[in-house]
Amino acid sequence: MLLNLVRKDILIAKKYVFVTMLVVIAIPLFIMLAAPSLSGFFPFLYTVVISELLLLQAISQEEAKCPKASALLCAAPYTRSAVVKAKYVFFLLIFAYCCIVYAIMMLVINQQPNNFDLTTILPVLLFSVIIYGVYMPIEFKYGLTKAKFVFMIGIFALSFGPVLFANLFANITIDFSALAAISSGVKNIVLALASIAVFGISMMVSTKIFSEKEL
Amino acid sequence: MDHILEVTGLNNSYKDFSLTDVSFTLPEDCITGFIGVNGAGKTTTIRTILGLTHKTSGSIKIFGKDMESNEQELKNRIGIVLDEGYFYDELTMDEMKSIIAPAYSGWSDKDYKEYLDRFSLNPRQKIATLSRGMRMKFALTLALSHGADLLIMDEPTSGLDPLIRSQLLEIMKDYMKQGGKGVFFSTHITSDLDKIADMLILIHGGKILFEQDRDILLDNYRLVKGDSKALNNENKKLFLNIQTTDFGFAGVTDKLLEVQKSMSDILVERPTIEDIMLAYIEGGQK
Amino acid sequence: MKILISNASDKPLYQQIKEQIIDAILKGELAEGDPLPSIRSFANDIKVSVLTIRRVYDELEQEGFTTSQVGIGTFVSTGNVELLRDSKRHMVEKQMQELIDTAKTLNITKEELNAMMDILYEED
Repeated sequence: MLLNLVRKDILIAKKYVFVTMLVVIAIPLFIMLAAPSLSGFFPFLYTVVISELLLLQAISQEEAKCPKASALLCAAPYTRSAVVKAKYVFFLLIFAYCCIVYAIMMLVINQQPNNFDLTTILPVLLFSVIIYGVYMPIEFKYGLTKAKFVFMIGIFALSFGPVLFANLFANITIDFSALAAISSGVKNIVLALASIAVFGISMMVSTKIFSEKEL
Repeated sequence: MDHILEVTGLNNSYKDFSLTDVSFTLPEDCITGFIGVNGAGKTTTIRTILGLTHKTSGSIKIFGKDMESNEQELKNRIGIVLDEGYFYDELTMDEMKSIIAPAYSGWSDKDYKEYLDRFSLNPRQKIATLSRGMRMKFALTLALSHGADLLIMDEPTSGLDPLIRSQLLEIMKDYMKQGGKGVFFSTHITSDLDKIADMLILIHGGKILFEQDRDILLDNYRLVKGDSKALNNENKKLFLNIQTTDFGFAGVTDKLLEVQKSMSDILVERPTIEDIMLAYIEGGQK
Repeated sequence: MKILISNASDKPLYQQIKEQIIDAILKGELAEGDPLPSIRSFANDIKVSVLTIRRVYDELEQEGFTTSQVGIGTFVSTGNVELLRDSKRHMVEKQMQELIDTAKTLNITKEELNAMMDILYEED
């Protein structure tokens, strides 16, 4: 059932799926070739965020063109929660695809596979889950146009984020030595749990919102 | 005889409109016409039955089972034809079918292909390029290809030419021949109902005005025409509704004998469903 | 079997149909054991509602003219002498009804009708 709904999303945004798959290959490729020292965290972050943005937005747009189609699905034996979950599964699928492509590229081009492991993946996962986890319920509740607004802010933050961040922290001297002392294993577990938590909560909220929506 | 669909005390409230105490039952093996003017509440009722919009109170039972607790199982047995706009326009019919079909356990590709053939539809055609009539036929194809026991259709014939309408009615009749099936369709085109409906339910302003066997309705009511001068305050009450012109009056009544006693020289005819429907609606507005 | 229903008649549809079927049974057009058409196809053919035919069949069965077997159909019941008698009685009732209808349209009162019948009855 769920998989069929995921397939539905792929079907209605066929062209964009293709473009995104290329983009996921292109971005890291470009960065690795042009600035190999940067390979690692930031390119991966960009790849994930942009591919998720691109594709999920495209799907939402196609859905918005035919707003009653989801009504037909819900009048059929598809449950409303399956419709919601499918979107979240799709998010994970895109993420997984990014990981795989990136890992392959690192191996093939950079010969530095150890630079791409859980310590890179998990923070990106958490970051994108947070953005997506905030975005999705908003889109379910208020529709595409208003949710897009939030998205714009998200992109804005992403572009200026690191700089702002850096400036902020330049003035604050927090002793990170304690943080550094925590083993990476524990850090990973915390990141993983946090991701799961945000993901799960967002999905529950979206499900609740959608179950009450007038179709 | 079981009831295929049982709606009890449905209440729903929107900004400008509400459904008030909507209740009716559909007997098995019947085609039921759900009639009313535009905006009377037909679509709202159907959407509520299908769970697309929420009700404030009331219960819906299909095949004797409560809709809320058996939603998936029941929706599996219902074939749906809704007004246009419920498909992903950019997809082809086959692609749309590949999304819908897996949801139904009784899906039959064989039936699907047969109906496509019968309707002369090319499955690789994009839905956006289909005419209204073809869209309806496609919706019907999907609805009839999973062994549904109940067909729920919202204004399936509106905007269609008489040929397609009569084809649709034929298909409904064929569908019923299988036995154990039911059809519930809403329309404001009462001439279709004259040909095919067994039961009639009239809704107006969110309220059910009558629920009746078609032939009993037509047996009980008569269209009476006569001289306007024969009307007085007493005998006016015998009519559901009266229309007067300079040349006489016409009224619908179920109390023919009393009318005949009260005035002579009248013309008595069997009314059409539309006559009765309008009489109920206009009569109720007094 | 010929079933013609009249839209102009005052008689309810189901009654017209029922009487014509009974007629056909009594006249032998429908023999004992013969099947009656299926409810839906019958309804489709004479353009009445399924519920009407169902009612006709139910009443025919109640009155003993037909028997129905679930899943198989409805058949004219076999060997019912008493039934025949009742039905002949029914024929008389029918003709009497027609008589009364005609009398009413001619504005002949019940008393006049009774009087006429008294006279005619004694004539044999």
